[in-house]
Amino acid sequence: MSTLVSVNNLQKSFGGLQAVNGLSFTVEAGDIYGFLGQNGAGKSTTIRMLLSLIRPDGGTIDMFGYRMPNHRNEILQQVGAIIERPDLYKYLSAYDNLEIFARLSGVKTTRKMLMEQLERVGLGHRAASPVKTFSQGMKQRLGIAIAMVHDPQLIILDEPTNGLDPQGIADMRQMIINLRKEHQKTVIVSSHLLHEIEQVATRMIIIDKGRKVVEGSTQELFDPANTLVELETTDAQAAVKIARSRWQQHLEPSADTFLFRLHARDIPQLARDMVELDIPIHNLSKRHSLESLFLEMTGK
Amino acid sequence: MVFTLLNIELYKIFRKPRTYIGFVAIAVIVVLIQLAMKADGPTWIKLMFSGMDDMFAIQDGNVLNGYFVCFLILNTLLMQVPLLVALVTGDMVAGEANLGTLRLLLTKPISRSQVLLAKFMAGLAYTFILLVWMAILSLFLSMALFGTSDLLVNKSYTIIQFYVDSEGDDVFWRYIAAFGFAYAALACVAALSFLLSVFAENSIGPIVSTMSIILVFTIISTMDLPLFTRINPFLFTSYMTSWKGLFNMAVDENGAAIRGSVYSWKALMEALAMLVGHILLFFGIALYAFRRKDILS
Repeated sequence: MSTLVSVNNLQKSFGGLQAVNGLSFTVEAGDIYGFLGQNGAGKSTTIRMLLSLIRPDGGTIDMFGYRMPNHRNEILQQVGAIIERPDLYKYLSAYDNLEIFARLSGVKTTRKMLMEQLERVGLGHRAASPVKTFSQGMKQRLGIAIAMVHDPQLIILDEPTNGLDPQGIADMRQMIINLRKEHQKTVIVSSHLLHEIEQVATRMIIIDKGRKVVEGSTQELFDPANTLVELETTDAQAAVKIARSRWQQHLEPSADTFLFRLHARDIPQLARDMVELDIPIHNLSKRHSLESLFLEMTGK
Repeated sequence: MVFTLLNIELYKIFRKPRTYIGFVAIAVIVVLIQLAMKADGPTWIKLMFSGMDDMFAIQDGNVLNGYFVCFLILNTLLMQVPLLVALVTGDMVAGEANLGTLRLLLTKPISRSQVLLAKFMAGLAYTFILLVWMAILSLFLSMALFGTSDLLVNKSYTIIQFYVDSEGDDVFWRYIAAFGFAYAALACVAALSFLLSVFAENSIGPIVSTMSIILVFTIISTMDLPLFTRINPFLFTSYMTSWKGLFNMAVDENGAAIRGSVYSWKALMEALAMLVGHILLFFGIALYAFRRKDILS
């Protein structure tokens, strides 16, 4: 696998606010790279720096072996992007929007080719409709068509599920997976929702206050051996019972609930033992330690 | 690539409804003035020239001819057209920032300089088309409705007569030159609103700011105070109505007007140079700022 994106010690501040602070990461060819962080963590600023929309104060960005911004055009020829909302020319049709951005990307367009692109994202029947009549999901799909029109190697999607209904979110998720599976694209996708990233990403980074908190493959980060299980009970004696049982060594410090760190495969046994110990179970829920970390970080 | 961009920019401009506001506004004003002149023109002329128009030998006695109506319209309209120009050119960058399309546009493999140059050229092209529309209605339609004859111009208590006779037409070329000069003046307004557009994220700001600047500068230009007199030569608004210099003739040693002459070509060329200088200055600043701008919209 080759490295498509290499970011080293990236810095950016706005006035007194340090938006990105010494951020480094790499994206390999074929990755769906999840970019995770709460709102204001520095995701969009970083993505805008990757696309040369914002000038970094320091650090380097190398993409496809070129340095940004010295080789801006060579890099952007191989990148398609949607930043935050897919804002388009509302007074123009879907076809006109696609044609304009295809020409700006240096693509020699034909009607047949553009119509095929619109068909691919399910907008063939609305090609002549003005974008102002489109739902958010349709705009998002048109945005994907625009991002893909020049057949780039790397697709950057900044918060692509924002404003979508549940069906739209599911469609977008599938579309991202397909970009990698069927079109062999590398995708960088940002979100403030862990479960969104978890479901699509092959590798991911969590950032907070412009700094990297953790980076790695999704498989590593969501290792089932690192599962946290939360038990809720009204029995005050339960703590004593648990302390005497085999689950004592898995107990995590917690103020108001019983929290266990164990392998996911042990959860059914834990449930059985709780029943045997006659502990009334009001809730037994699984969450990953990464989720705990993220929730703690985001204060939710 | 710049021509592809220019093509796209023009397409976007002429697909926006606001683009046509200027064309409609000019048509309404011009046609209203022409209708009013048809209805009450002779009375109005008597008032304007205090009855002295009878002292001139006008071909066919047609003082109220197309050239005269055009002169009247240009005097009325050329101070309002800047607003119509700013409506479109003030929207060119700020409107895209507001719409959110600027960030998408700038993720394409085109340099920012090319993007800005194409937008500026499109703004100038729109200004040119608007002026051509104004010329068609105010000059050619007036000529068709009122005919052509000698032009009387009332200038500082002096009435100047420009001849249209068997020796030739001494008026038409002046109008063509005047429209050319007016284009430079309007292009200067376009450049100013375009510059302001680079710093804004919605188009209202640049449009209102452009008109405010023109208003303040025009007040300074017209008030005969020592401080303002020193500032005046550096204000582009001081040269916006210099086209009127084309309707002033040089005189010979006997004090007789020289047919086909202009009172001061030098003053006109200096005014033109100042306007072009301002256009280049405004665009230069816009380019410098745009190339360094963080796109946060």
